[in-house]
Amino acid sequence: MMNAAPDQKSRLERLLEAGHFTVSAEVGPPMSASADFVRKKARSLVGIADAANVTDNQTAMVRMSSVAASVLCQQEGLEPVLQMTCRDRNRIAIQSDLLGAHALGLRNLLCLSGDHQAFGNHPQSKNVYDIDSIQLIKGIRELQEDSRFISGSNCKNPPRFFLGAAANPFADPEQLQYIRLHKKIEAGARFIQTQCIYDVERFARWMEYVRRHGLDKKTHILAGLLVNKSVKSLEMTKQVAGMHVPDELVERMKKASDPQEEGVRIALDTIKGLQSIPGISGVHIMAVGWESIVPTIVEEAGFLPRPSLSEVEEANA
Amino acid sequence: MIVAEQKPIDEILRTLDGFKNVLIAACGTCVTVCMAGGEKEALKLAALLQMRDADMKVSVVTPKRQCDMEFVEEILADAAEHDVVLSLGCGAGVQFMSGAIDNKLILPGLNTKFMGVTQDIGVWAEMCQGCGDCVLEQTGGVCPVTRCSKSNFNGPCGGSSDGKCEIDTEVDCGWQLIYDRLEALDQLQRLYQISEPKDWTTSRDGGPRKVHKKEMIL
Amino acid sequence: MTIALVGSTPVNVILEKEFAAAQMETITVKSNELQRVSGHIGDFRLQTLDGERRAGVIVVTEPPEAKLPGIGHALLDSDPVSHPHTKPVVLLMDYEQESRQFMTPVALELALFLARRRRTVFFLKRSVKTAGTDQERLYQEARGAGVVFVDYDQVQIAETDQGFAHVSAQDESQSLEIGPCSLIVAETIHPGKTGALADCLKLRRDRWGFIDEYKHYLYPVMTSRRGVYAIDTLRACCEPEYLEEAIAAVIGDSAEQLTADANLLYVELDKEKCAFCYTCYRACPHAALTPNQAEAVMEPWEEACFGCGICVSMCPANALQLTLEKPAQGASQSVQIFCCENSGDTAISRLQEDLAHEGLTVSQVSVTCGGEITVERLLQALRQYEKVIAAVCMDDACQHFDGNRRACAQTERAVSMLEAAGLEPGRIRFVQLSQGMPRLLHEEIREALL
Repeated sequence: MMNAAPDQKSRLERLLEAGHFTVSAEVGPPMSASADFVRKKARSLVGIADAANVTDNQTAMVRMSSVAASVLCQQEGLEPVLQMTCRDRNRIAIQSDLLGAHALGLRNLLCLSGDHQAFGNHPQSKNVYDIDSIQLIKGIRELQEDSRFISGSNCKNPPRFFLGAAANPFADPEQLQYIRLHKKIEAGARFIQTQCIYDVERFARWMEYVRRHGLDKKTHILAGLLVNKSVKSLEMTKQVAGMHVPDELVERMKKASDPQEEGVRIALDTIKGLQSIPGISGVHIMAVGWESIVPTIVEEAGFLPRPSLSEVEEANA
Repeated sequence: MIVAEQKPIDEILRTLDGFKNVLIAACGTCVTVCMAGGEKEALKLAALLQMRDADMKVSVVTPKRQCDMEFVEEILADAAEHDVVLSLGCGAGVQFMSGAIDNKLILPGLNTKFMGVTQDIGVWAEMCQGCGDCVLEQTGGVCPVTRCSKSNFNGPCGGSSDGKCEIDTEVDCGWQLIYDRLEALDQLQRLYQISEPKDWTTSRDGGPRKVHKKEMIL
Repeated sequence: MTIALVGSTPVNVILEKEFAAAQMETITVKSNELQRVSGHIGDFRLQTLDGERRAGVIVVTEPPEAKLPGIGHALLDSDPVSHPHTKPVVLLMDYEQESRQFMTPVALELALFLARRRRTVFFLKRSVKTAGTDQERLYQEARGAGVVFVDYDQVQIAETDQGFAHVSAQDESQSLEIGPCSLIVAETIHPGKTGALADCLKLRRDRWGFIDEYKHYLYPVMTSRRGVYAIDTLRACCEPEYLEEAIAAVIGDSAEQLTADANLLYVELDKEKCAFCYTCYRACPHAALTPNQAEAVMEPWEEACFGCGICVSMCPANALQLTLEKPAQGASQSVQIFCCENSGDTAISRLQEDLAHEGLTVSQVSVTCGGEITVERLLQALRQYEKVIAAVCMDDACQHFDGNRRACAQTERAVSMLEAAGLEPGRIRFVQLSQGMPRLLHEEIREALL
């Protein structure tokens, strides 16, 4: 078991600080109480990904709690990035869960608004949205730095997380999205995971903005990408609000004799394109429904072996 | 204005099961304007009830408001002559009538929806949630609490696409509206500052609310 | 009486002369000088840049913007008249986005002209109405001369190497390919200045943005506002008969509207009940309701009101009533039929003998417009009658803009209420027809009775 000491930084944070190009992946908790499911997924990513996001009731479907699933990942030797959304918990519940998460050894935290419950399997539920994701980041940063809860009251032993947020380079209105990115970084986001990138050119333009404003120096940009195994999955991705999939890519997938192979090739081409853009600190690979392909992608992209912590410590020293 | 819509007919009929002598109380203000509970709606229901059961006694009254005693007093005598009152007032009207009319069951005929505005004939849109601490001066007169599906205070979530909300392409993204408005007013700088977590004690979260206007109270 | 001609076109000269001959004085107001119009038939006040002008009747002469279909222009630069006689000519009338009233005769004449010179002519049309004007005759003659008329849902035009067009048209069941040919494409018509003018005069516009005159081929000069007429001066340029008809219609209709008993049917308001919600103001197709701010109630204007009853059915406060409700005719105990006086009424009158012959009796209620038919009226009727039929005008034919569609919506609501109450929804029937479709109504009645 790999429990971090209270003041120890996460592996992800240390790698990024040491200037490594990180590789992260995702572990979606099951819609069940099966610990084995999580453990198995986690084991397949050990040595492949530096860390893995553990989603918080993604698409508003009821799943195993992200705190619990994160701990299971940690036990298997895979460092989790705990996701926390504002949809289901008010500020009391969020802070309480985060105190517990830290106590259980979790050190990375990604703060999100969360998909609206209209999408999920409990559209009848009451949503919370007591605070928004930026208020959440700022609140937790202040809890860590000033030992004060969001209300202002004291916290004796505050948690310490490596705080991150999400950004969508393809959403509009463009200027408002930039304002939001500035705010997230100002609020305390030390890393930014982006929405899935299919259009590298357009992403490169976004990165130009990021560099021009020195944002890549203030935070770590982790470029997101999604691996599709079929034309259908690519087309479904295209339908999702805030996703930008160029038509050429759908055509390319349609023409391919082996769509799975083409999906991998598209992902590898995207990674190659991303590596040529300055200011990116890592890639975040999502393979919804096709997690087993992640090791292949990481290997073929030439990301193996992943640096060991001792290497990092040495480099730091 | 308070916007409501009529309950499904079968639900209304179920709640009236067993009653032979019904007073339908329309309301002459908000719910008349939003076409949910005015005299016309009451007459339609009355016609349907009588068609269904010719022996049923159905009367219609339309006080100007169901939320003020003076107007409710006007219908007390009518209420006394009937077994039950079907109120086509908003939730406030039904409760006020329940308090004002002794020993009589007041049934709700409407589902009260929101505080909103008329967009077109037959179309109303939600504008205010009564959070008790208005921030419209910050957001160009477009309410983030009501018109953003997630009540975000610091801009749109990642699901905003082509100016529409992720929950439905028919729903405008509230933050797109805020942005457009502030841009037109040349006030985008208002958006750069991080909004702190909202204090919801002024909202329903602080428990049932009352307003006291002190200078009017002796 | 004074007639205000709004818009200045060459046709105005003819109008002035003709109206003068009918003892009517005319004044001309340029459309861009008109700022506001108040009042009603017999007493309109036109606020212009030069001050207030008064008139009893307003005639809009401002034309929409239009160009005739060009010969051999548009896609390809070829002239079908001089082109080799072996090639077919295709006329493409694509009016999805436009008013189609005016173009057809011109195109039909051209098709006829070419066909008579032994050319092969295809006339591709999406939806062309031929009723009511000279078009029917032209259409018959063109068919006789061998013009091939093709209805289509979709059309594609591709250019061939030789610079000719290749046209393929599809409808639901078939497709048609026409090889290299000369193509004549209709040009567009836009509302132009008539758009702003319609707003100023509070006239309803059709979904293409035209004053509804350009739609209402049945009523060539009617607009939605009483005492305001519109003459399509574009059409008048090439159809002199139309202009004659239009002038006669303005003179005849305004005289009729100004008689004492023209105002018997109008709406009245119960001030106590009015919630001042503006629903009637928004819904009235004839701009016959104005807000009285001092009393916070709406005020109906009997001189502007056509008595269509749309506001009566829309008023949520039940504050509006028509001055007259025509009594039911016929002694049936089982079927009551609400007939719009512009369609169902005439249709049923043509059926009287047949119905009597078959021993079928119905109780018939005449309404000025289907817009008068409401849920509560239908339900009330069902307390006395086994079945109720609403017989209103066809789509696009409502004289009160959308009364037929409102009747449809009200009927649907009434049916859904019956369903929800566990009653037989088939007891309410709805039919759209024209005056000339008594058989359709006959079938409806037969089915309702049997």
